[in-house]
Amino acid sequence: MRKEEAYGYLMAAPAILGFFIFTLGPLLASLWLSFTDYSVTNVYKFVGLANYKRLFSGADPFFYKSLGVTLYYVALSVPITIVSSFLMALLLKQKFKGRGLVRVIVTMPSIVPAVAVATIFLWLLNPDIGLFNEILRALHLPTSQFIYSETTVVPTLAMMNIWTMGSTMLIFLAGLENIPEQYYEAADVDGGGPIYKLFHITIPMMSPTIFFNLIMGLINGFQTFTQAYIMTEGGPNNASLFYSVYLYREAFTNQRMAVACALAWVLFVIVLLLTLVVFRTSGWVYYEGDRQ
Amino acid sequence: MKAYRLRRGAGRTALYIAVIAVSLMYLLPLFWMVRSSLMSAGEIFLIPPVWIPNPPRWSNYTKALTTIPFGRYFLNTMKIVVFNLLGTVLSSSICAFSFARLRWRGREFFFALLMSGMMLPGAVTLIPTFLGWRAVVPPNSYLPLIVPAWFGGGAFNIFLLRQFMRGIPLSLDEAALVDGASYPRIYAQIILPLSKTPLIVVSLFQFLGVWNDFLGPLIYVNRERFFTLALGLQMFIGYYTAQWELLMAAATIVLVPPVILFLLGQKFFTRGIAISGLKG
Amino acid sequence: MKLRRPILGLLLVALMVAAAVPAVVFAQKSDIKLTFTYWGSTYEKAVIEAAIKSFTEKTGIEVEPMIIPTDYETKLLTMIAANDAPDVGYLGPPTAYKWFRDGHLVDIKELFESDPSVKEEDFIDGAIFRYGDSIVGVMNNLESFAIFYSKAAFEEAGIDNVPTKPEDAWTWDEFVEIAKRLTIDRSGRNALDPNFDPKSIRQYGVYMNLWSGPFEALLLRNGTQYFPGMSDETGIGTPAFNEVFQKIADLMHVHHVMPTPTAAQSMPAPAVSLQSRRYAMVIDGQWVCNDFAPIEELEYGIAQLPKMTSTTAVYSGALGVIFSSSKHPEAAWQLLQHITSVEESTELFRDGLWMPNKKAYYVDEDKIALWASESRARVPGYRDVLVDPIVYDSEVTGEVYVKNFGDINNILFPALDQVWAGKKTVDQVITEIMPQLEPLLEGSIR
Repeated sequence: MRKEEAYGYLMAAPAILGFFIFTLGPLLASLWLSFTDYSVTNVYKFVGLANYKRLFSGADPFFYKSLGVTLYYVALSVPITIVSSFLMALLLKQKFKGRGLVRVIVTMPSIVPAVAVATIFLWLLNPDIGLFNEILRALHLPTSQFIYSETTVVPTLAMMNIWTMGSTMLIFLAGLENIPEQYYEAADVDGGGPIYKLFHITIPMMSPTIFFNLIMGLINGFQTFTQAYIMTEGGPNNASLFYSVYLYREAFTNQRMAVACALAWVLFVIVLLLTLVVFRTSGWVYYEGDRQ
Repeated sequence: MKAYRLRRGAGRTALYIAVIAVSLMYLLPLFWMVRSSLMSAGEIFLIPPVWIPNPPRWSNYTKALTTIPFGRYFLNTMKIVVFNLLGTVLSSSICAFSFARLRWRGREFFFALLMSGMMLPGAVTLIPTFLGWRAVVPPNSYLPLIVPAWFGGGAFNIFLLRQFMRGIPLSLDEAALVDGASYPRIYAQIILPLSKTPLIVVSLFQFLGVWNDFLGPLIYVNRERFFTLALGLQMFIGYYTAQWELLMAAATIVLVPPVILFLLGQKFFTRGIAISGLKG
Repeated sequence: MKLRRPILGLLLVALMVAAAVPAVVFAQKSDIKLTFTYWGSTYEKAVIEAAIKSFTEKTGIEVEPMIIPTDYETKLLTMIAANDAPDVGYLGPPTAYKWFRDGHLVDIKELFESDPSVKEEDFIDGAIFRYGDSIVGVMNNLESFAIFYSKAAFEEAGIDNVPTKPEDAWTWDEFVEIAKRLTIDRSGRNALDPNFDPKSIRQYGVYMNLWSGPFEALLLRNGTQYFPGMSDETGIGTPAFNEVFQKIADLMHVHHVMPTPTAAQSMPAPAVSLQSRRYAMVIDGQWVCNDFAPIEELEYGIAQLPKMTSTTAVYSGALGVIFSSSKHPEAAWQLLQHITSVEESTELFRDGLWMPNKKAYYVDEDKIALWASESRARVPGYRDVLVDPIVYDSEVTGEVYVKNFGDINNILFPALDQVWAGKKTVDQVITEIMPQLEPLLEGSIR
C-alpha cells in the first residue's frame, strides 16, 4: 500500500471507528425498530410496513402537515440564512474601529440559551405591545401578527434566523479571512471594481464555504426544533408543527417510538436525496487544493 | 492596500452607518434580556415600554445565584467542556486532513457515511445510544459526553475543516514531501497552522454546543450534584416559570463565560492566515 | 413473532454482570436502597429531600432521590430501556396506564392489603387509579380549580358578596356581567358602558389558560365531560360540550372581557397580572396559591367557579407508582406514604402547592388545620371553594380514565386555535375534526 493511502486510513480511523461505534448501531437499530411496534416499554413485535403505511395513507393527520410545514420552512430559511450571513460576513470583514466587538455582538443572539432568546422574541413579536409592531407603526408600515397567525408564523420563524445565524456568519468570516490578499491586489491592478471582485474572486473562492453552509443549512433546517418547540408549540392550528417537534412528541410524549423511527427514516431519505442532489450539482464549487 | 477596504469619504460613512445599524439590531434582544433581568416582573411589561430599569434590581441576580448552586454546576460543566473540546480539536483536524488532502480508496464513501450520521434526528437514536453507554459506564459518568469527541469530533466539524483544508494549495504538501516531510508532519506543521481560523470556529461551536446542551446531561446524569449549568437552568425554569426577571438574570449569568470566550476568540480572526506569504 | 431487544441483548447481559458486582460487594452494608424519581421546583426539592431524610432516620431505608428537571418521561424511558428503572416515582396518569399494561408497574392492590396502617377507604376515591381489579397508582396530592381575584379590583368595581359556597355560585350570565364590570378600557369605562373601547383594554375581567384542565372543570359544571360519568359514550361534539368552549370564545370576542391567547402572551404570569391589575380574575388550579402567597402587594380572594347545570368540582393529581423491577416494593410503598403525608411534607400543603389525598384531611378539623388554616396561601373562602367540595361533590379528571386522552387533545386544542383567533365557531371546528377524532374515542379505561 502506498504511504499516502496508509496514512489516509490511519488518520481517518478515529472518525470511521467513531461512526461504527457510536452512529451505525443506533442508525440500524432505529431502522429495524421502524418495522415493529416498539414503544420502549413493551414486548414488541414485527409489524412490517405498517408504520410507514399509516403515515403515507394519511391516517395520521399530522404527517403530511408537518412535512409541508418543514419543507416550506427550509425553502425560506436556507436562502435567508445564507444570504444574510454572507452579507454580514462581508460587512464585518471591513476594517473599522471596534470591529472585534461588533463581531461578537452579531454572534451574541446565537450564544444565548435558547429559552431566553425564545422568551425575548415572544415579547418583541407580540402583535399588540411588541416592539417590532411599535416600530412598524411608527414608520407607518403595516403591522403583522407574526407568530400568532397561521400564514405568518413560518416566515417569521425563518426571518428570526437573521438574528441567530451567528455560526453560519462566523464560518463565512473564517472563509473570507482565508482568501489570499494578492488576488484582490491583482484585480486592483487590472482595474476591477468591488462588484467585479465580489463575483470573480470572493464568491468563487468562497464556494467551498457556501457549499458547506448550504448542506448544513439543509440538514439542520429539516431538523429545526427548539424555537418552534418553545415559542409556538407547533401552533397556531399546527401551522408551525415542524417535523422534528412532531417526531419528538411521537417518540416520548405519545410513546410511539416505532412510529418516530419510521418518521426519522422518511426524513433521513429525503435529506439524503437532497444532499446527494446538491453534491452532484456541486460543479460550481472550486477547491484550490484539488488535483486537476 | 486592503482589497475590500472602502474608499474614504462617502464609503466610510456608509460603512459606519451600516455597522451601527447592525449592532443596534443585534444588541436589541440582548439589551432587552439584561434590562428585564434588572426589573420587577410588573415593570417588564409596562406600556409604553420602559427602556432603562430605575432603579436597577440587582437583587434579582443574588436571588438567581443562590437558588441553584451555580459554582458547582459551573465546575461540572467545565469538566465536560475541557475534555470534549480537546478531543474535538485534535481528532476532527486529523480526520479532516485525511479526508481533504490524502488520497485513499473509499475516501468518498466513508465521508458520505459520516455525513449520513447527521441526517437522522437524534430523538430516535437517543435510546439505542444510551443503552450502549449504559452497558459500559456507570450512571453519572461524563464519559458518554466526552468520548465521542475523541472519535472524529463530529461529522459537522470534520466537514467544516475539510472544506477549508481543501482550499489550501496542494503545492505546499508537494514541496514538503520533496523535502522529506512525513504526512503527520505536513498535518502538524503546515496544514494545522493554516487552519487556525476554522479551528477556532470549530472550538467556539463545540464549546457552545456542550455549554448549552441539556438533553445529554439529563439522560446520562442521575445525581443532582453532577448536574451541569444547562440542566440547572432547566431546573430554574421549572420553578420560576412565572418570574421572567429571574430567568433573565440566570440566562445573563450563564451567558457571561461564552461571551468572554467569543471576545477572546474573535481576536484570532483578525490575524487571519498568511497564506499569501507562503505561496510562491 | 415476538422479539425482545435483539440487538441489545448482548449489551444487557454485560449490564447485568456489571450490576451484579456491586450488589455482592455492598450486600451486607445496607439491606435496602431505593431510587426515587420526581419532578418539581427547587422549593419542592428541599421539602421532598427533608421528608426523605426523616424517612431514612425512621426506617433505616436508604433513598437516592433523583430530581428530573425537564423531559421527565424521556429520562424515565431511557432508564426503563436500560433495565434501570427507579424503584418508585411520580408519573402522569396516561403514561402510568400504559406502563402498567406493559408490566413495568406493580399492582399496588396487594401492598394496600398487606399494610395495616392504611385502607383503600381512607383515600379520596378517585385518587386511587384502578384498572380492573388492580391499582396502578395513588395520587400523591390533589389539585382543583377556582376563581382567584384581585380584591382591589373588586372593591373598585363595588362587587361584594363574592360566592364561595357552591350553592351561591354565579350563573354563567352573572359571571359574564361581573367580568364586564371588571373590564376597564384606558379611559376608565367598563365593558358595560356603550362607549367602551375593546381595542384598548387596561384591565381584563378574566383570564384562563386554555388547556384541558380548566375546561374539564367547566365541562363538568355543564353536566358533561370527554366521557361523562366514565361511560363509553363521548361528550365531545354534544351541544353541552361545544357550548363550554364557545362560552370561553365569546368571553374573548363577544364580551371582550378575556384576552385572546395572543394578547395574553404579552401579560406577565397570573400572580403579577393580578397584582398589577392586568386581570381582575383568573381561573386556575389551586397550586397558584403557592405563587400568590409570597407577593406581598397582592391582596387576593377566592371564588367558586360559575355554575351552569351543576357545581361538581374536578380534581386531578400526579400518581405515585412503584416499578416492577423494584426488589423492595414494600419499602417503596412506605416511602410514598411518608413523603405524601401532610405531617411530613407539611410545607408543600400549607404553602399552597398540594392538597391531601386522604379524606380525613377534608373532614377532620384538626387535620384540616394542618394544611388549610388561614394564611397568605389559604385565604378566607379557601375552605368553601376547594376543601369541602372535594369530599362532597367532585369527580376525578378524565386523564385517569379516558383512553387516548393525550391524542384527543393533540387534535382538539390546535384546531381550537381557529376559534380563539375568532375565525370559526366551536361547532364548525369540532365538526371538521370529528373524522380524525372518531378512531380515538374508545371510551374509558376501567
